[in-house]
Amino acid sequence: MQALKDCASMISLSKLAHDHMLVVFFVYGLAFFLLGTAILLKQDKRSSLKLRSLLLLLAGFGLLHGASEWSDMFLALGETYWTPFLFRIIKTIGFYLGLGSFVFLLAFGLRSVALDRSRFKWLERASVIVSLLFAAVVTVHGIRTGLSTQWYVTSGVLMRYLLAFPGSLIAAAGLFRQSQSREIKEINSSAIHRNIRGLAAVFVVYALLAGVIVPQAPFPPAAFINYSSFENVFGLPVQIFRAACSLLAALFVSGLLNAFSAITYGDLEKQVQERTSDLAKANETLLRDIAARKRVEQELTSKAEELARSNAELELFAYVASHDLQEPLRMVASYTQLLARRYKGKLGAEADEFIGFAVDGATRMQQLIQDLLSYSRVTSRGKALNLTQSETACNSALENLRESIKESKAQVSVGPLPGIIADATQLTQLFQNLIGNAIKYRNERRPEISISARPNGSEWTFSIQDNGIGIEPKYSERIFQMFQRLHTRKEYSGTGIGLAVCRKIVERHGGRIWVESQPGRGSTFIFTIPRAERTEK
Amino acid sequence: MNSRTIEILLVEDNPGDARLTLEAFKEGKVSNNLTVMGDGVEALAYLRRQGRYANSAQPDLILLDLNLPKKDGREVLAEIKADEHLMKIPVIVLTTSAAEEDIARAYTRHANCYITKPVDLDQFLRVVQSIESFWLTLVKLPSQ
Repeated sequence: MQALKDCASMISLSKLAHDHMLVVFFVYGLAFFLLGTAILLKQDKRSSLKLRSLLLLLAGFGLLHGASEWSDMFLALGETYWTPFLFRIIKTIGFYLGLGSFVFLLAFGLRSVALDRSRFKWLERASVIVSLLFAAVVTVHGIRTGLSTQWYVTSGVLMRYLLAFPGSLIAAAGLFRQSQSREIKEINSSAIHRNIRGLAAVFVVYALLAGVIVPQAPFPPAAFINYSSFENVFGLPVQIFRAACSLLAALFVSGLLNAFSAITYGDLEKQVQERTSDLAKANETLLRDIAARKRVEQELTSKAEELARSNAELELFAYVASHDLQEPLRMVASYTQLLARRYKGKLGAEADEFIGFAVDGATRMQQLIQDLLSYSRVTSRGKALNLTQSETACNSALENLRESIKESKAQVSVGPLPGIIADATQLTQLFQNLIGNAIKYRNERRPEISISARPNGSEWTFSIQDNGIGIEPKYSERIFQMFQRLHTRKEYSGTGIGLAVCRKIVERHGGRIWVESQPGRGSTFIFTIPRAERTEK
Repeated sequence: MNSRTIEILLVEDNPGDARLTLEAFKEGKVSNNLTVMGDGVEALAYLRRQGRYANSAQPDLILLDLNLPKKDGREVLAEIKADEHLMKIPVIVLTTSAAEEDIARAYTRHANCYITKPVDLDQFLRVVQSIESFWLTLVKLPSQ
């Protein structure tokens, strides 16, 4: 019963379709137009996806094929509706539109299969050339046979076998391939995968419906597998199924394009969100930085205040040391000296010795305080740095050392020395201490001292070279520390302040000081002072 | 040579320094009488023969320290040089200060000379010797 009913409804459907073949063709064509226009309307230039641009070829297929079907629709009005000439014209136009549409389909398929590998370009070109050759051969044959009805059937069938069938299958394969591409995989969207696979499946079905089911022709397989045999089996004209395919294709393409757009917008939105959050983060970092900087600034200010305070305390200490400490010490020293003066030899040898130690201690203490003061005065009493002729300063130092130079018969040579930005008094003291040391730490040879300067980049390098006792390299740093001595007071007098003062003076001038020496081979004291040229006013 | 005893007034608050100066003058050749006043007020009272100093001797030479209690050496100097009875007495500023400001101010107030006390005893003795040989021997002082 049921089967009978189905059969009845099928028959009536078939009848309906046959009665309204115009409508079938209209819907059929419209479905393809929908496919084409959907693709064209939904093109989004912001998307960089390759598949999206490939779909343009599919749009070409849809539009041309839609037009071709509508030409069939006009033909369905019947041969009698048209003049035979117009009928032929429409038939020819329909044929070529169909041919064109399949060329687009083939191109789409091939390009999809090739992905983005340019070495498959020849294949695509070859297919177009073959298609055109086919069209040319068919056309030539058609003209020769005077566009006979037989020609239409034969060429139509061949077109479907040679272009529609492989074109549709390759398109299906291409879509499948595209769904496997890195580009699509990276998107990882189930909607896109679903739509691509759906579209591929549609093209497989369409390959059978449009490439295998052909008009009846007097050669196999068209002689057996054709529209009427299809209708006999399925009860409906194949065009209905093709239209359904095309509608499904339009649906899938539309879904695909929507998914693309969503991704593009999603991408954009994500980018905007990322930017915004980056910006917020940067802002936060900036605020933190500013806060940190403010804190550092405050710390710096308080450190500077602290330093100023400690400096003032140090100055006060220096003052106290120079006056209040000196006063009682002067008493001790003076009276022990007076004792020594008045009672030497009168209290016994032991008493003389004791008094001697007391006097020595007191005088040494006085000297230490004096040295400490002169060290602290390098900064506290330093004068402003002005353009100073270092040669003049050096000569002043030599003048101050005249006695010891004369006594030691030292030979001093002074090379040309430059003008530098310095405190003249301190520069003199610097030369005096270094030349004084060169004389003081002499050996049995006659002292030979040479003072010179040479430019070195942005600074002057001064050197004071002697032929004295020299210093072991391991002590070359220690000698610049306050009250550090390498010799007993018996060997060489002094408190060990001279080089410490030298270093302090050089550092105040923005330079460095060091010694190059070997024991027994003399020493060279080297100090640098920034060159005057740039700061000179 | 002047055979009479030279009267010297030492204005010095530190007994140690005063004694040292005294000892230094003891070693000298010129017979002298050194009187020590411990502060500026006492010193001026002595010079003006006020109160218990009514019978004091007018000094031939004044050795003046600058840092004194009550009235400091700078004021004492100014008052001496403003007093017509005292202004002719030579005033030697003998102090530990080497400050240029002190030196300049002392001379502005007509100090006769300014000496910074040496730290070392030998040098100090030499200074006292020099004072003696110059101010007490070479120089003609006004008669009393």
